[in-house]
Amino acid sequence: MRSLQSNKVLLDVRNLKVNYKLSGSTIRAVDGVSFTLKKGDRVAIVGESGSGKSTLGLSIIRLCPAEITGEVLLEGLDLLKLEEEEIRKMRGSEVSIIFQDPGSALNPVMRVGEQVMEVFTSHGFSKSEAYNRSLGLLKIVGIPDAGKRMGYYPHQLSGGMKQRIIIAMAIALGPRLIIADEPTSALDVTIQDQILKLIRNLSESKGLSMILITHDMGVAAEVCNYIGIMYAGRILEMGSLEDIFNNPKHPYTLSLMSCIPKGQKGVLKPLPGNVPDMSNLPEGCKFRPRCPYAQEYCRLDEPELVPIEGRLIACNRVR
Amino acid sequence: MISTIKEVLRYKMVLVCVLLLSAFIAMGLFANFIAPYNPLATNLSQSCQPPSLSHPFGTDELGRDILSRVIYGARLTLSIAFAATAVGAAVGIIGGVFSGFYGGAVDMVIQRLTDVLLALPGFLLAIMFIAIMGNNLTTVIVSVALAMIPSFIRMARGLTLQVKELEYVSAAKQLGVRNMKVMTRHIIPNISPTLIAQVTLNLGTAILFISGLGFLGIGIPPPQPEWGTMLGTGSAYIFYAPHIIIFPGLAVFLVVFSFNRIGDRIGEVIAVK
Amino acid sequence: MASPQDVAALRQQLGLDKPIYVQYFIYMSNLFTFNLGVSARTRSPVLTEVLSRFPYTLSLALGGTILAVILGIPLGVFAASRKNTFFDTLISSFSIAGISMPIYWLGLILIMIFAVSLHILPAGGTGSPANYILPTVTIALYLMAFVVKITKASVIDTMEKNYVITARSKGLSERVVLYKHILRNALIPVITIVGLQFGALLGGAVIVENVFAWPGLGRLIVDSIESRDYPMVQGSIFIFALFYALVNLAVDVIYTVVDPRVNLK
Repeated sequence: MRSLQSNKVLLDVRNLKVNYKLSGSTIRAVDGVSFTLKKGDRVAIVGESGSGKSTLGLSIIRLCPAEITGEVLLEGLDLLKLEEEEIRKMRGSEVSIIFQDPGSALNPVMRVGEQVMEVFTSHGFSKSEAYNRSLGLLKIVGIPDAGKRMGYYPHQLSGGMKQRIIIAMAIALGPRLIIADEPTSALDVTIQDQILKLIRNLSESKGLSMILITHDMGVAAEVCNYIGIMYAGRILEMGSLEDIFNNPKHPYTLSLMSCIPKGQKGVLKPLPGNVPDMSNLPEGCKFRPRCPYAQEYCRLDEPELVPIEGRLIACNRVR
Repeated sequence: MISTIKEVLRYKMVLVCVLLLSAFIAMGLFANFIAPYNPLATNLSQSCQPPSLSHPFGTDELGRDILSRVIYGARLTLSIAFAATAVGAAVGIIGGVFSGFYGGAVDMVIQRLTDVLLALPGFLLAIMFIAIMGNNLTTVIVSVALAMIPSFIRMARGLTLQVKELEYVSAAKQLGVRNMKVMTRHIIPNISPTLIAQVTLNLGTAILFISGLGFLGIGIPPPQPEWGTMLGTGSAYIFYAPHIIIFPGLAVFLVVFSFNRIGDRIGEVIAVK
Repeated sequence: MASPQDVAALRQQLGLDKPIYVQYFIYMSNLFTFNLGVSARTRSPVLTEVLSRFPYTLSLALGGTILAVILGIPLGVFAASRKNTFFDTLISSFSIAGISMPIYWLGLILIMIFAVSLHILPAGGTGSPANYILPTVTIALYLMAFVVKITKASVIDTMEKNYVITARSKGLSERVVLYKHILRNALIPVITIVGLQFGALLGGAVIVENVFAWPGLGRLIVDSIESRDYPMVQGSIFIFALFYALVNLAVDVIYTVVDPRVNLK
């Protein structure tokens, strides 16, 4: 069900760069990423570990202890230019995050009810108001016996329950954008499905836009309608789910696709090689060392992300 | 091995501490040649002299040269510390490895014995032993060794339990290798690095205990130039001749600090590997 | 020179003529009823003497711990927040130095500075509140070195935890993040360390009491050893061991209260 809003741009990321300065070297975790997200869209950022996708997510609300440059426009307002206090107000209320490992993402010495209530009390709500709303949230995310569970400590809950609490915290104030960073990677396969369905339903019913960060193409397909492929800090291909899935063009996307088990007779072809060392990137196209179609011009020119046939793609060969 | 040593010495401070320790050890070894005076030679007419050219550290209440006493004290304090730590570590490590390796009844017995030792904190345990056995060179060594044994047992046992689960150890056992051989060939080499760090730190603790006993008057008895004993007898003169307590205490501090810094650094390097 | 009859009479009086196992049994059952015998020197009951001295040792231990914690934790947090800067190095150096410092030397140096040179504090004994200051400060400084070290390490470790990032992502103010999320977790190991170091603290108290002529159990033990008053030594050690055991128990209980993941077994 498409949201009723018109195709209005919610998030406009322009040339976002995140640089970590370690003793001596600079690590370009995010190396010039640009994309737009319309209201109601759910975009998946897919990549292997080390591609910079988690950093991308955290940097949008400035939770990275690194140097962030570029522009991140949330309906016109540049989040990177805000004062510390202003961006703090936006966290949780306008943009929130669902984290990867629910086991470590919750404060172990604080009751889960309190942790949900915090979201409200830190944005001006009274304690009783916060309690009632938190109770309601726990029910919405499908936690049985919510009243009792409010008083539980994280270690008393299962992985799936903990993740539901984190989802509750994320949707509490009705943010415009949710960034979900590998929300199901740390969960049992049986629970993963439930959580993904929950996330998608909530997003649709509340008109939330989403950036879903994952390494799993299947997860991306389950939840999102747009997909971006990320590698070594850059986006290599981006388009609608149908386009990319039915007609992948970038060599990296092609090899990721071949990793998906197709039914019973799936053939898993693992990608040869490793993600590059982020402090020592190859010249030209960053994927070139692992690319079966690499040519000489791939080493000389870094491919730009340009629109071709309704999608964005960064590959010299395709051009 | 060489790379580990290099890694440990990477910090300037650690290097300084190693040099400092070497200087003290050299002092102890060559005391006969370095010390300007006989450390036991009293000269009441010269008592409580502040530092001067002829007595760089001054003289104590009986006119003895403090510099010479500090130099000979290095020999005394360091050798006792090494001896006590060696005994404590040997007993503790063997006990801990046996306890962890065999488990069952052996483990229980050793643990109960350790609990008895742990009824009192280390220093007080040493004091109690001295109270019963009197204070002389042997009893000081034994009492300090006793105080250290529980921590070695605990650590060795914990490490042994960890290493025991490693595949090639259980493989060796299944292949029928005799227990003693498994322990010496497989377990000990694995737990040695961590234990070396612990031994270094314990050397510092041993010195604090030995000199603490000396200060209280129940350690190495006077007129021996043990640093703690020197401080104990000299403390009465603090208003009159404060220099008496400065130098021996400084010596203790520098040596313990060096052992602690080096032991910490070894621990850091080991942990990364 | 005592005659053989006198010696025999004394032996009988002290129960030393009975077989050794009977003596041991009598001793242990006496312990249970807190009958610690009489002093070999003064002939007065050991228990009364020990109990009159105990509060002095307790006040040093308590005062030293409280002071060390009140000063040490903020310093440790400060060092963690200014990691790798000048302040951090300064505070950490003091911490390492403090752990290596022989307590008797620390006490004597403080006496030199405040009593001998500046004449503002007494060098020992009891009588006025001023006498309490230097011994307590000496113990506090020693424990503080440990507190600062573990607080700094614990805060640095906690600061990087995922739940701290979660807390920030919820839009919580830095103050709330610091107190309710970072400190509430980071201070747990500090409690452990203070508990673990309590034994060392008691050993330190023994020394400090002898440096400052503070009339506590530590002073009593050393004096009794020197005068060969064995019942007094035994009694004092017994009370020390009891105190030590009780504090360890208390720390265990406190730990279960503070950390909900831990259960009383």
